[in-house]
Amino acid sequence: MSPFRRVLSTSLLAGVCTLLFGGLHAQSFRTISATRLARNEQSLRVRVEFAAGMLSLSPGDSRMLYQGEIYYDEDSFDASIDYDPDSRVLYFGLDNRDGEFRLGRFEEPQRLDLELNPRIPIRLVMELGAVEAEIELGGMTISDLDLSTGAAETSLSFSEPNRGECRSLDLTVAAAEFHAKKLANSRCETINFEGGVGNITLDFSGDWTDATTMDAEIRLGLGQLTLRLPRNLGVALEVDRVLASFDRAGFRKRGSRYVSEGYESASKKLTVYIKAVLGDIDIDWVGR
Amino acid sequence: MSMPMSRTSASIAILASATLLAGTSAEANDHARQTPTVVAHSADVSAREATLRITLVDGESVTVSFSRGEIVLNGRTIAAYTPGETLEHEWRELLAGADQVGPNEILHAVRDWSRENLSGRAAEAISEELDLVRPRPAPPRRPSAQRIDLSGLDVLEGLDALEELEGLEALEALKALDVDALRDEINAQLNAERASAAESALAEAHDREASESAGPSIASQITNDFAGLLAAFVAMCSLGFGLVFFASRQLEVVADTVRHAFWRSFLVGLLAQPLVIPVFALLMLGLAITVIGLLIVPFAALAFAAAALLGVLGGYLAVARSIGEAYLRRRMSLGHPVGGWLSYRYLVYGLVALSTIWLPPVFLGWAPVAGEIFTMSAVLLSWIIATAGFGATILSRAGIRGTFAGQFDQALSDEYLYHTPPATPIAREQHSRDQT
Repeated sequence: MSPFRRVLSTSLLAGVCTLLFGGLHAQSFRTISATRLARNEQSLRVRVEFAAGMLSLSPGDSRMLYQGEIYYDEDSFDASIDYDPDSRVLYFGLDNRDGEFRLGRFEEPQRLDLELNPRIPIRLVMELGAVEAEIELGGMTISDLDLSTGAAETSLSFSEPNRGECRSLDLTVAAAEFHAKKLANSRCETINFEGGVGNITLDFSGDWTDATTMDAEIRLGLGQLTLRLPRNLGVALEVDRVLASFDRAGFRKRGSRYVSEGYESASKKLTVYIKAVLGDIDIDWVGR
Repeated sequence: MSMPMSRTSASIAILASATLLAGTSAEANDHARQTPTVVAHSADVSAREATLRITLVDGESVTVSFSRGEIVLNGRTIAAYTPGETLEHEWRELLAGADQVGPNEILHAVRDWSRENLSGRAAEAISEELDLVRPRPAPPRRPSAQRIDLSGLDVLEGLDALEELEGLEALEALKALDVDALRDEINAQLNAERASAAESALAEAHDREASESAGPSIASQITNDFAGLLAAFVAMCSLGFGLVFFASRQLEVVADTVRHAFWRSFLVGLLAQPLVIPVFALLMLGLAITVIGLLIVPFAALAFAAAALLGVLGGYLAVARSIGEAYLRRRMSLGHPVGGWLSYRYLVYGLVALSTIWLPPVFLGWAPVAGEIFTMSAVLLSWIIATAGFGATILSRAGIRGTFAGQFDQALSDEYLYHTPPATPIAREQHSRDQT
């Protein structure tokens, strides 16, 4: 074996060993938590940045402004919780220490649990990395939501109607499995979704009592998109696609758009604009 | 705007009057108000320490920490403990549930815990500190029916109601006024107005961003990008034809240099890039310190910029020529006819090849994530090529020095031209070396 090959094979072996066993060093876990009482706050801005682990966000006790906890590996990550009472900005964050990213498995999953006041209008911004997230915003007062995920498995749900008016829902998903349930309950005027690679479900069911119209713009890369649409809804789809399949069951072509049966007479209308490439767009009609 | 301001002034005046009337009752609450109220708490539990921080309404805080065998209260060591023993375990257990309870509950819990588990100076110190803190009272009750109820009214409506009263009735109303409620109501409405203004500004900004970010359709975007690529191709062809016409030999030399020493050219280009600005600065400085030089500074600056630009673009075109030449020579060696005007043909074929780098971003650039990857790849490849071309321009002294070619590879040399003199300057150079 030539010296070059010997060096190369030794380096490869060392690399493989590092990948396999590098993550098995003893981890030191730390817990930080914070709770604050609500005090006549008229609005709240919340920013959550979570690099890796499991995340849970849900409505909490209305007497509290927020209650939350981060459990993390302090050798590899930095976490912080910060609230500024003057600007009413809350920050929950977990990031890789010094920008490093360590390969290997965690003995225990890191986690972030956060409960927010359901009655105070909240502008929520979330940036998630390699995260398994359960986000329940039903019954809260969300005025804006900006959610972006990396390689994440995310479930976003509005199990109950939003208490206030929501301007927009901006969802950006890179390579992930993403399921949004009962989006009608968000009572958002517009929904913007941008997806890279992944399995995406956008469920537009929920309470359409107040929300008579909703606009959604969906940009999809190499993913499978399933739209769950209530049958009693007037839906118009405008699809701009390249090498992407589109299941048009339940729609008929009207000009440049596809419209559902009874679209013109429907009192609740959803307009969806889709740009897609190399993906599948499936339609799943729900309800009677 | 002036109307609400005058109303606000009026409200402040009324508030001041009312405060005077209500002075006695306010004094009664002074003691309670001076005692700080707890509003928040946070816990930090790690292998080394377990810390609880109770935050008060005035922004101050009380911190109790178990760290490395010391119990620390507000940064001051008040007692010692043995790490790993029952006391520390119990403290950690208390903090483990801290996120499940409110600040008032944690205040009581710590107070009770310190009384039960600590003794002597430590217990006293913590009790003293916590006794100065009081739990946050329940939300203020609504004004009673006998008092003027402003809770449901807009502040301006409330002031209108007060203005309609006269004489004794007005004084009675002022006396009955719940000052705290009025103040709370004004603060609440002020905050609501501010929040509303901020929300409106944010909404406008958001709408603006949305309208700006709403891009054209895929087809029009692709058409625009493709037209841009075509325009760039035509521009590079024009420049390249000019170079072939006026400096054919120099372009050939640079192209040969790239072909025979690509990575050396790349490294030279890489090293030269950060030196461009310092060399320019030194040149300007050198000229500026002499009287005659000072006069030609503007021309020298323009000439330097033109030379640098020509170095990069010329190098890029030389790479294109080299690629085109390699392709066409292979075709020629296989006996395919390639036509005349070879120098121009080399360049056009090479530029077509280099333009294909930009086809993925042009056609798929709008796709999320993948588009960015394609664009970044095209930028990176183009930069590598331009850097190598720039380095080759330097190595060959802009094509004047025809001797730099590294190891000459005859594999692609002219099988069909073996009867004729070598086609390129470097081949000629190599040929003459072989002859000698």
